[in-house]
Amino acid sequence: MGNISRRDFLKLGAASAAVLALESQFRPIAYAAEQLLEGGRSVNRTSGLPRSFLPSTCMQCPAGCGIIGYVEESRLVKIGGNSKHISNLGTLCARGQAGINAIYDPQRLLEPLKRVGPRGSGSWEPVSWDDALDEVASTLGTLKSGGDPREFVFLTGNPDADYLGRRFTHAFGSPNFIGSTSDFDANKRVADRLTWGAAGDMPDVAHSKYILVLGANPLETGPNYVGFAQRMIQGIRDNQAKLVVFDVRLTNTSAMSNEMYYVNPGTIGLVTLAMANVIMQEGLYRDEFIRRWTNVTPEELAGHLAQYTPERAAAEAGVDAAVIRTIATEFATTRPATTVTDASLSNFAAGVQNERAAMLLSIITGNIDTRGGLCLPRSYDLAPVNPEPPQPPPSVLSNPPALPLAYEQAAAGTFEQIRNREQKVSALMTHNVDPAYSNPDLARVEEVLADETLIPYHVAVTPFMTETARFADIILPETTYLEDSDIIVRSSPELVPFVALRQPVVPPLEKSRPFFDIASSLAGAVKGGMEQYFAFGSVSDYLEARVAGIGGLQRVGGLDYLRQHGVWYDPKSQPDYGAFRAGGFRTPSGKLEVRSALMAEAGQPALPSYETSASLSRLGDRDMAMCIFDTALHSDWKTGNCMWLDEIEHHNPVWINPRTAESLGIEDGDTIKLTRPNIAGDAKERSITATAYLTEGIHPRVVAMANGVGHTAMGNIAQAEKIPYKEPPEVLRDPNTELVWWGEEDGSGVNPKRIVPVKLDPVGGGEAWGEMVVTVAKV
Amino acid sequence: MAEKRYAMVIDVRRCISCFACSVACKAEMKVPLEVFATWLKIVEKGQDPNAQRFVLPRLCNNCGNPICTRNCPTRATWQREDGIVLVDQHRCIGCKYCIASCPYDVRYVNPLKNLVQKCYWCHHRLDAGLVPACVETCPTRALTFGDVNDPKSEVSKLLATSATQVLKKEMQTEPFVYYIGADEVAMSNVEEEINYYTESTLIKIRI
Repeated sequence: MGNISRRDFLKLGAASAAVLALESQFRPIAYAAEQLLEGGRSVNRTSGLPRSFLPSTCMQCPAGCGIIGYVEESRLVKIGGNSKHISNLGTLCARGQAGINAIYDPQRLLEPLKRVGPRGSGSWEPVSWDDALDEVASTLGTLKSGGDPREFVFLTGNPDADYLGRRFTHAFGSPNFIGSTSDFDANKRVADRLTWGAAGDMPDVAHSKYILVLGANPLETGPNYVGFAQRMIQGIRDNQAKLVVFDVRLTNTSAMSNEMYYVNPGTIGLVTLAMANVIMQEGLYRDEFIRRWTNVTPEELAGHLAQYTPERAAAEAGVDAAVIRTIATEFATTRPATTVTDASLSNFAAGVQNERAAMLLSIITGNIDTRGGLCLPRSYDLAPVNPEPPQPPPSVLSNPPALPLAYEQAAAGTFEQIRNREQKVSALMTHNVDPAYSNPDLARVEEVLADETLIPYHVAVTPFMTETARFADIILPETTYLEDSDIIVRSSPELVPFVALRQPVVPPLEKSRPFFDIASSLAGAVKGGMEQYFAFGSVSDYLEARVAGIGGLQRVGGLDYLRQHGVWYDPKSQPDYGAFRAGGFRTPSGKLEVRSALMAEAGQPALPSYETSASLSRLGDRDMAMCIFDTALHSDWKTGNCMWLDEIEHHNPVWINPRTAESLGIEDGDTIKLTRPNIAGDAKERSITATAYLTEGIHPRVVAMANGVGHTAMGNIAQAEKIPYKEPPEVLRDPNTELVWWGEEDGSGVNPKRIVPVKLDPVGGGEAWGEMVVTVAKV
Repeated sequence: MAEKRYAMVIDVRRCISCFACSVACKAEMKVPLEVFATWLKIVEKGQDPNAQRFVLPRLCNNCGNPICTRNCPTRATWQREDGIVLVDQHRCIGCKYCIASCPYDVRYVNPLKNLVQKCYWCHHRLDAGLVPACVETCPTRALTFGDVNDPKSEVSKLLATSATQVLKKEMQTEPFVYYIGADEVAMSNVEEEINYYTESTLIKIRI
């Protein structure tokens, strides 16, 4: 099959051509010819017979990989990758495969629950769906017809429910939809929009020759995890790209790098500007590109950057000036080159500035949207389903006046605003989201959720009893993503846009219902005009309407094609590198806005700049910067109940450098206390105790903890407790629940967000966790 | 063509320590909690700022000269012609002689069945023309599987073109899991894997 000519290739049908196209670009799967036809990629272990299957889309993390659900006797027995999917190319990570643990979570909620004791007390009684929907519709209906519908707030953590959730909120008459894409990469998205008019980026790492990772860990976690990581391995191993990493700790990415540099916390932005300065001073920049495609001249830029000397960066960041010079020179002279950035660059009060500084490196070297360079994101836009509800005028919650450039409000800010009574709330609906686990300063979130004067009514739509659902007045048991339907679009790591389907691989378990059904039922019962926006007929009608605008998909069968294959992209399409040359960038000037008028209006430097962090630059003797990181095994709150993941990663000892530990009298395995000091007018002192883990893989002034463990709800498994085999309903029983061993051995971890202060980038509105300082002491 | 002889080649330089193989194995083989048939050994060495981390995917070597099959008193453990070492669950009496004799510590007692099990390279999948579950799911194609007697197979090509390593060569067990680019420290002391740290957590992989 490897010798197929391009002419033969075009003769093949769309589906098989798609698979071949992938193989030609990725390392070929040698055994492809040996594999059974589609559907036989999984067989029963005893009979050897192929299992029935359905393609769908994962939701264990935001990446949205194509999956295949294998089913025997209407039970989902295995989840694998969809080989037709252009992002994950038939592979699947640990989290995706552990989705089995989520759908059959022994304590999954299978019927509506109504609170009977005080809020948060954990006393519930089951109610029928009719009664539950009647109650919610009656409360919401009263608010809509007799009150102020703007006092309804909707929060979701499911990126694919953004459209339906926003539609429900707007149809209700409220602007207060708080979506899922807000917290982790808000600063980066704002920086990208300001600079090149699109939220996000897609480094074309598979084809790079030089990959400069600035505060990112893409081989372990990231917005496109598997799809991006496999292309990065292709880049550094098959294409022999040089990989250079700047971070504060040894990550899976830096472990595979050619060179790795530990920087003082919060200083990567300065190092980046110093490299840009070297490139300008040494004349290594692309003069013509800067003049034609940016709104600054090389002279202006060189003049501005002159203040960021390698020596200044060396003094503040703790990296040799010679190293900065060398890497800058290599980046500018090795083509193509790209940066890769993420939270350890952007989760700072100057996150937008840091990201804009990083983009500058690709801009001045002309590596923008080139093969192997820093590319614009590519994804399909889905059609609105008409009629769309009118968008209510913005509120302080949906568009906080303090964050003029934030395109999406962060949930962290939302709870602070509710606490401060900036927005009166009469009803809150939380959907597939767990702010009482995920948000900074989560004790404050708990206080807001518990306070019935702040939130008089809270409906939780969730498959699991999360930390947030505990504070609900009524719980509507949603299906898991494996029994749900949605149209999925993502920024494509292959740079060819795709559209995918999430469909139920098995029918909804027991009485659980998909969000589409719940939203439609409620809209129909609340009425007052909102029912017209949910008169879809069936979920298929809704899904069909969403993909109506994608002509290529319509020509091969539309939704039916997606039901069969799970994903569609134009098999003849190749990445359209440099498309901006025809129509410019989607910025006011049509150019890369290195100088941002909007930043200047917001009182910020118009050119990418660096400001020393007030908190990180004045660390006392016992003060440490704190780094909270994601791993390959957990996605924030979402995977806490997956036993296969918890068994591997179930606790999160505090990384601390051995020399630092010695000076603090701390030994490996000691119980230590991390205290966040009192911040005037902002946050009171809070602390957690955890176990010390001495490792050479961390900067001496940083402590680090993993995110994703330390649950205080979400069922026994998430809290490392056994469940007797016969306790759950029959459909959810699993003898493994009696074997949960790690609780007794290691505990279930600590949630570090309990001590993270609520701090936002004043421009981007994204969280600034990176600014966090704690004092560390042996207990 | 000669009889099939399966082998696995693990290019450690491609492994991102994602544990997809470990979980694929749990799902495919219904491996219970407490035990693993494939897992990652992760070691750190060196001092800050030059600390390094290495990973070593671990599973049964399905040896050319297995000790376990010779030591099994009931002949429950046997080897197919294609090299896969199996455990006949009807003959196994759970005596654990095979566990004691395996130099690679890859066998375990299934706590739900009290029988010895191990990695069988997903022979039910091979028999259906598929590759093992871990190989299929590996995001970065670090794992390659195939027939070493077929010169055109991907494993044969890799073995012909790359320097490879095996675990405990001196034991003369003739492992058929080959590593490319594995760290020598990670390769040594495979029996001392009781406790080690991954990225964020202390895992007890072998009880």
